[in-house]
Amino acid sequence: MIAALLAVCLSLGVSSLQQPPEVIDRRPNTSPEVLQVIELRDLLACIEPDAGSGDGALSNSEVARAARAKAVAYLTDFITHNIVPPLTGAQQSLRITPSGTLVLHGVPAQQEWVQSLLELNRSRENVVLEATTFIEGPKGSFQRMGIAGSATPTVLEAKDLDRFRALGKDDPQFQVIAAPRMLVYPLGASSATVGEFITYVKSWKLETVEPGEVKLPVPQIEHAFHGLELVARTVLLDAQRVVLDLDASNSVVQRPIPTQTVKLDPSITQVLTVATPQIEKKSIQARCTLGPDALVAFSCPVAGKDERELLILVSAHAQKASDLKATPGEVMTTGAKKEPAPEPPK
Amino acid sequence: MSERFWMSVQTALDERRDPLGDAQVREWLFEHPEDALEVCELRAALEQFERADIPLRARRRSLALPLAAAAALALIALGAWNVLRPRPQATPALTAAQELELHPVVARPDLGSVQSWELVSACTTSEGTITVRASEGRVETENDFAHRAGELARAEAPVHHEESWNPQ
Repeated sequence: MIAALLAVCLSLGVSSLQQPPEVIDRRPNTSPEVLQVIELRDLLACIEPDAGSGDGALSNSEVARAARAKAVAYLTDFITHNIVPPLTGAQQSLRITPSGTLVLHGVPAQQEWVQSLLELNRSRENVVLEATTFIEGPKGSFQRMGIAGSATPTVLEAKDLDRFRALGKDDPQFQVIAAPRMLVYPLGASSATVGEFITYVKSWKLETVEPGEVKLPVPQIEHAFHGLELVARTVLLDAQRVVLDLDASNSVVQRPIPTQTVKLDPSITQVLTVATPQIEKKSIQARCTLGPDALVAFSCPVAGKDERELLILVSAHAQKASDLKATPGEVMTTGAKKEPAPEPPK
Repeated sequence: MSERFWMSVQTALDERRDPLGDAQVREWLFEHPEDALEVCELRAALEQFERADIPLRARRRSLALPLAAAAALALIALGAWNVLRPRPQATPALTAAQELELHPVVARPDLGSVQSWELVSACTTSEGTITVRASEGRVETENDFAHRAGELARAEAPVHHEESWNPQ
């Protein structure tokens, strides 16, 4: 019995010797950085609407995970590059976990800035009105009008837009191809497409089916786009300035589409043809910060027309959703119900 | 033509007729209004001369009549000159393109900024896709020709073998 007690005491003594001594630093923390944790799953869902739509299937969950990772990377990059005052030193850091938690180690001013940014973009009281104009003209003509060449963006005054839009009225060499206006909530993406999707057989797949182990060729369908496309994502930097991520492109599918005969199996006597379209695509991707009176202009080549050039003019400004008014020629969607149709005569 | 005009005027005056009653004179004056005042002065001078030289024979006329005739002639001449004068070519209005080239837009970097930009040019053919990316001070080129060659080979030699079976 005594031996057993001695053994227990001895083992306790040994274990207490093995643990490192607990050190409590009672000096005041003089570091200005403070840790802040913010939940922003809802904002990530705005950036990638498909992020939470996985239904349990492996492929869907993988797609959702990739979409979430993309949204996390986007927001992390945006805040890191715009935060005021900028992050400096190893003590200041920002990261967003895959589950949607922002962890900021920064000074109070940085934390206030992040909090303000998230509140501004979370609010549904603000909307961003984007206006984009595509104008096609002779190569080099836009440089003579003051636009920088080689796709270098030029920031102009918003009132210059009317001067460029007048180009399509009295000169057949210039053509205003499209001028979409888009309304989007902060952090959301909007897109406009002017053109056509061409469907074609990309390849054939051989499937063996019962009864009789019959080999059947199955066409694999693909789509090619011909026309203009614009995708824009907006973030409100403050009440006045909008950060715009743009992807504007023009594509041309050469006609007629070349074809090619393929042979899958000696047992298939049917002549199988695939289309091999030649697609030329020119696009501009840019991130710009625009004030309420700013207009950004890019000149870029036109796909399939070496002697022509495309001018893309984009403006964006924040507006109170309650102040929205439909301009002439536009339809304002409201929640009003339709007037009930009169009853047919009996 | 000018001689014929003055001859007609002289003939009318010699015959104590009003030169403006002659159709040829009127037509000439409409075409050459600068001669109208001269005809008018000549006629007024002759009338004054007639009154001064033979005052007893001269009919007493009111001074208002020649003045009114002179004013009418002057008005006719002015109207004719206004209608027939050679007009300078109207300056054609500038098109929007010409106006923009004459007064180019001015960059306003104070209103906004561009953090990053990239021009992407891609061409897809049966052999693959070649992509050129250009931004400030950087140009990159990439292609997936080898990858596409593999796809074509797979189309010719199927790798998928799928079976379906219906128990009914």
